[in-house]
Amino acid sequence: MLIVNNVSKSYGKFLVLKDINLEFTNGVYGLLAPNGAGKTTLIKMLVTLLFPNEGEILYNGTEISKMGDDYRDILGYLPQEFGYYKNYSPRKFLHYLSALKGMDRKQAKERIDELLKLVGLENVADKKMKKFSGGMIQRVGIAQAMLNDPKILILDEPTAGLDPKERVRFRNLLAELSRERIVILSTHIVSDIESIANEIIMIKDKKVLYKDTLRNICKIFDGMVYETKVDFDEVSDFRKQHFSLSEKQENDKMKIRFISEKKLEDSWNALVPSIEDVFLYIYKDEALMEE
Amino acid sequence: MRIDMPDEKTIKEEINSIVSKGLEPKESFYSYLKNMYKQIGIRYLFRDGLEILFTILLVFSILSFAIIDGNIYDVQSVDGIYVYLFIASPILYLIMSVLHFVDVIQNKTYQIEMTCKYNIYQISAFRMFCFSIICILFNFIFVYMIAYKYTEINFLKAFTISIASLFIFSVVFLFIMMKFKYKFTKYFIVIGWIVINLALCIFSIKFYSDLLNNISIYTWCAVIIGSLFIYIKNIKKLISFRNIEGVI
Ligand SMILES: Nc1ncnc2c1ncn2[C@@H]1O[C@H](COP(=O)(O)OP(=O)(O)O)[C@@H](O)[C@H]1O
Ligand SMILES: [Mg+2]
Repeated sequence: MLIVNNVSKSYGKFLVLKDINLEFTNGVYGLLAPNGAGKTTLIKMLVTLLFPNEGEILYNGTEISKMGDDYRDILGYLPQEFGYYKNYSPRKFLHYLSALKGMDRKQAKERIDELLKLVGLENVADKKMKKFSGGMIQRVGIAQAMLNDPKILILDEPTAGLDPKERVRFRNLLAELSRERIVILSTHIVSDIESIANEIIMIKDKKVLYKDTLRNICKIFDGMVYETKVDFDEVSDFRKQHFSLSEKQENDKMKIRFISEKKLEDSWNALVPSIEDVFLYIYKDEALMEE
Repeated sequence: MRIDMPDEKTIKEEINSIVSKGLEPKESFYSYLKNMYKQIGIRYLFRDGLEILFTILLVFSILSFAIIDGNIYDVQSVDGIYVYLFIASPILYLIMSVLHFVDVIQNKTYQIEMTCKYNIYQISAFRMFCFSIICILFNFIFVYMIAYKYTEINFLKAFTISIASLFIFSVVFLFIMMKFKYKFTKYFIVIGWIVINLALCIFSIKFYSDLLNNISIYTWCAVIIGSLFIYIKNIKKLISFRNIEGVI
């Protein structure tokens, strides 16, 4: 079990995370927050690239930085900016990393063949990586993270650069992998984790806002998501009154999905909230800032 | 939270495993390096083997050019050669190590390699150790060449001075690399070592050579043993190094 205890982290005077408390057991955890929320910072502390200014991170009761290579031995990590040697082939790169991971050579060879097949790179296994597309590189990254069959698998924005087909493939892959390990993946794309995460962690204002199952998080917003049709000329007024989640043109009218604390009009249609609704509503201020 | 009391058998097993872990003999430095070598292999430990070879040849040509050209001998007395050796001996080590650390910093795979069982600190420790051995051999050949050309030079004395200089410098270098957090400070100090030496050499070569000559071979040997001891200790520290976040 991996436990994050009252962890705070700042870069110089700039506080990024404050009093984070989390607990991870086997299963998939989706770290969901917009860019700049501190996902990568949290992840880097979980893989001992950074150390908390306050608090501690424990694995089975021992502080992870004190475990040294015993901790790194059970760790698989895909960084957000995944670097690789351009002149290496995926096979050579994986062999190199398996050596650094202290794996037995014969075992590593089998594992590499298996992984290359798993991520669908067996046909280009011996081609130099400099000609690879972003999605292919990302798949090499995912394969390298799983080399040592890690007990803790941490992926920072693993679906960045993958096309829709590759995304589906990745999701299936992960669902298969997650049974006997802790999988933590970060993303700012809701659909990435909707179907696979057992629990979703949302960070807002430097703190953990929610850590719960998708269903429970959505439940909080029960009775707040509605749908109605509005004339085009009333749309901008409507937007001022209610937070609009999505809009669609339909028969000369605009069909709007929106948030309201109460049902104010009979013509409104109550909907089941989705995690996307929650995400859009919670981070509405941040979304504005990004635009 | 309620925790079930484990049964008798589990308790025994747990105790045994804890005791055996606690008593696990600490691996010696050399067997650690040997295992690492076996595990990773020379090909991956020295991915940049060709560059290293090139560096060695380049440094060798430049240093030998200086003696063959006879400059040192013409300008200075024979004592000047000892000074030259003292200054030149750690240069190969310096260049190889600096190149290594620059490579580590620029390396895009830093984040992944840092989270592997053998991470950059351990690899660095291994490489630094190998660099020292390479440099001892290098200096041996180099000193041999000098002693061959300038028969007035005492080979043993020249070689001891050269090795002492190498290890004094190595100790200082490793110490700086591990102690100071800011890259700028590190390189500033490293360059400072060379500048101070050169300044001493240029402004008061007499003082410098007298200093070197007045030290007996026994003292040099003591210096070598002392600095070697500290050096190995620091390399061991590098293996379990984890305090400063970010880059070496
Ligand atoms: N090395 C750094 N120095 C200073 N500020 C940083 C550094 N890395 C990240 N930050 C800042 O910390 C905040 C969180 O960044 P990050 O953890 O990368 O967020 P995310 O991964 O969620 O996009 C951002 O505002 C970012 O600008
Ligand atoms: Mg990030």
